Amino acid sequence: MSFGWAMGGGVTLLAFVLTTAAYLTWLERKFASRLQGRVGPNRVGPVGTLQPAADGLKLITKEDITPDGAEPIAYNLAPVIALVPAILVYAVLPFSDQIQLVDLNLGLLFFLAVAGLVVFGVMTAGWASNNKYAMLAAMRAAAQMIAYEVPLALAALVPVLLAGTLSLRGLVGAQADGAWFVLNPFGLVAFLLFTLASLAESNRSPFDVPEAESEIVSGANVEYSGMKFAFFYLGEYAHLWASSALTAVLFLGGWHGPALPGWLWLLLKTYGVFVFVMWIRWSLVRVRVDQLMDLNWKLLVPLALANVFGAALWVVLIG
Amino acid sequence: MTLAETLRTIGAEVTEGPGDAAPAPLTRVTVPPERLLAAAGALRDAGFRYYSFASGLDRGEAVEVVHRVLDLGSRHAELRAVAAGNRLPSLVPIWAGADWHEREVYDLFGVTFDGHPDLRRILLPDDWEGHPLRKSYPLGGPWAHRGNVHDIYPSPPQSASVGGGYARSPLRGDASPGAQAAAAPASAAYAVGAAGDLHSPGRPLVGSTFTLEPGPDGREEMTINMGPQHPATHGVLRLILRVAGEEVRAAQPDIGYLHTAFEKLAESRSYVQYVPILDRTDYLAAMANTLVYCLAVEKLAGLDTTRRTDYLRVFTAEMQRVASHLVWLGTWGLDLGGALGGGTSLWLYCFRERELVLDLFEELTGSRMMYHFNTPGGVRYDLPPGYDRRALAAIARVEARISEYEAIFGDNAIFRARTDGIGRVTPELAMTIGVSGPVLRGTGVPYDIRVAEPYSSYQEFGVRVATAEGGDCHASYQVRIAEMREALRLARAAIEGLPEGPLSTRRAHTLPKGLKPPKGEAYVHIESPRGELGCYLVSDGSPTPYRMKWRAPSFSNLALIPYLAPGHKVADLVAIIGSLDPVFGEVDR
Repeated sequence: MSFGWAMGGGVTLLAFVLTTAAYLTWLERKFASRLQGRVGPNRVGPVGTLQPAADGLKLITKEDITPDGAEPIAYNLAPVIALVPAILVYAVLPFSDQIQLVDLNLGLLFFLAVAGLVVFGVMTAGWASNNKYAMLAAMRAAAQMIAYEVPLALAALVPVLLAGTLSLRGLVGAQADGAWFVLNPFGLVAFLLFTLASLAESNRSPFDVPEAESEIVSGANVEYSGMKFAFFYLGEYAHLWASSALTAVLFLGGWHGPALPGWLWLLLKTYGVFVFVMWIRWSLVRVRVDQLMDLNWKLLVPLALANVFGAALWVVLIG
Repeated sequence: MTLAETLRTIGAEVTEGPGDAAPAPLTRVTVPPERLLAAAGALRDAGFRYYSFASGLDRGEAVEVVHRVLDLGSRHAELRAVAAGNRLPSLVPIWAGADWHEREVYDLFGVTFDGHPDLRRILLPDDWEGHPLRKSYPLGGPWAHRGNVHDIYPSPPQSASVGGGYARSPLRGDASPGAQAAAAPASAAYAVGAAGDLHSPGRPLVGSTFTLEPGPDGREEMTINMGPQHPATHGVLRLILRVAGEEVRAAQPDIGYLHTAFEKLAESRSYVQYVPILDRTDYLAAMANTLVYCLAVEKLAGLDTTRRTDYLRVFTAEMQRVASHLVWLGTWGLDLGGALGGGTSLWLYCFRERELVLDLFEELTGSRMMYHFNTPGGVRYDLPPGYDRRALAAIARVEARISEYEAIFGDNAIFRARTDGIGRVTPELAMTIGVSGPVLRGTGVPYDIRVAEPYSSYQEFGVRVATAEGGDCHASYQVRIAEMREALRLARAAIEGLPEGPLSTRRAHTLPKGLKPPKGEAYVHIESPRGELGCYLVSDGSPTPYRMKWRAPSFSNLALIPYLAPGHKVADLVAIIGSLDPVFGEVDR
């Protein structure tokens, strides 16, 4: 891969990620308002489509505040740490059999490892803000994200076992001709576990305890303003979209599908998962932090382990 | 020996008989201060376990303190003592609920209660000068006569009587320094940070303005100031929390941020003029506020009302209950589910339905929140043509939606996990604190003033009292949901059975501005959406009330928080506050 190709692809991908993340906020606001019997943003541009631009403009012009007593280096670094990994993971996402920036043979491992770094952004922000609520949020975020890494990785292992590769391209390739991993019994359990765990990984309701604004005001980002605040949200949405895309790649056959071009299939599946996640978010109330931990360690992790074992047996005996 | 005989042997002056609260027999006990505790004990042992309120009454040379207690049947008892030398024994050892009420009397009248565990100002700032409900208090405030206030009545020593054997929470005694530390600017700690000394051993958290201190059992705790600006404190509640990680070890409410001097305002306005001000106490139940005040004025002045007025009052009070409970359910959803989650959906659904009720009120009164509908001797508006049809349609729509809330919210597993067993109140605790309304009924005590002492023709409706078992957050949820259904049924019955006739027995249903009730006093209480809402009115025969005491249910209910919070998570505390449904307009008055 030439340097020029890498740079061009990278810049294109970055533009794609940031635009997508910005417009996901519009999509979510529209979706939530329809669900709640409201209209949602409709003032800026047709059906509010310029709302993300207006939001961005507003956030850029906001006063940038660093509180007294905050740890300035960590405080200013935290939004970057929260955003960058969320963008990096797009490098290995196969949008179709033609479109992928890099096809690492350890693509899945890269994705999970880099996505797991997001937690450091939240923890740093909570710790460096010098705010008690932010501190509680950092504790919650650390406990939750580290805990949910376990079932997430275990669930992702099942497609790996079934396909025999860690390359995301290879994983999609193994699901050609409608042999989606979600149709495998163990794949189905893994799919549900993966969706649930990635909800928790990205701090989405009902697992949004690290930013529970009715309890700890707004969590780790309580002291942030302007673009630094926006970084957390861009990171969250970018991460969420990437998780949805990974779900599509691992379990829903990636770019495979009849008639339509592959990249369109992937987008359709990704947005399908994303809408499902939004639907959950706007329907359920939040679990408590200890209940969240109980759910993970007492139910999801044992279930995921048993599922991996079962999948392995399946591969040996049937596959 | 009857109660009266027992009390007389103690040395009390006892009058019994039909009291000032319509059908409720009242035992009025007047005792010298040194016999107060003994008389209170005798009353409690005779079944008066529910502490309603305490009120000061400026008798010129001294303040008389009136405690009112109920047996939760229909008997009232009034315990009165004149504070000679501005001192009285505290009744906290008898009824724990006297705690906040005595602090209020201390705050507003300057009576010191000996043996009170934590006698501080409660509504006014700690550095306030003087006691505003004393008649000698300069109306312009202390600053209008600075220098004179202390001559009129010197402040009693602040901490002389603090420290009785009433240990309720580990916050006692150390809360104030903790609170000050939490509220103080972080300048000292910031100076440390600026000097680059971030890693000194005394500062385990780098760059932090807060420290962890060992708690009673050695676990590290920190003090958090929750509120008065906080998304889940329903207005301006401030809670000083000691937390160990996520666990709340102790919580101390700090109220008074919305103090509006409603009671003092009553003393400078005519009886009729004062009504619209009361719309603003419990601003989610304005109909209930004006109703109880008008009932008290009618009692005091001997005014009667027509049946049509009574039915209209039932209709508006019950629709108000529905509107208020809808706000409670929606905001509780926000507490549990967050502004970025399913809670918002529930909140918006509830407000959509509340809008139907508000539209009805707006059509009737011209206002959406501050109705000024009731007036002494009647109501100010009759129904517009076709109103009953629209009202019945709205009632049917809200009724159908309540089942939907239950389906999407009440039956949800996460919702159950968040509310079952959280904030458990025992009936005994609830009664001694003076907790009323859905929270009390959630503990299984079937006390509803609409049934115990019917007012405004409620006896004709056959009110079914909703109760639940367990006393936790979920129990009060069940009670409120059942009450919404019952309120809709009552409102429908009132509008369908509305008697024809005038709104008032007088020719024009207005009163002379200079209404002068004869000398005397009256206490009337009703079942507001939040519980026992009472109005204690004292007339000296002049055109303005001599004393108006507002018995606010939220005030007493909120006093539960120090008992409920310890041992729960921070998230549970939010659920508990929401389940108490406090409205700070009436807490702080």
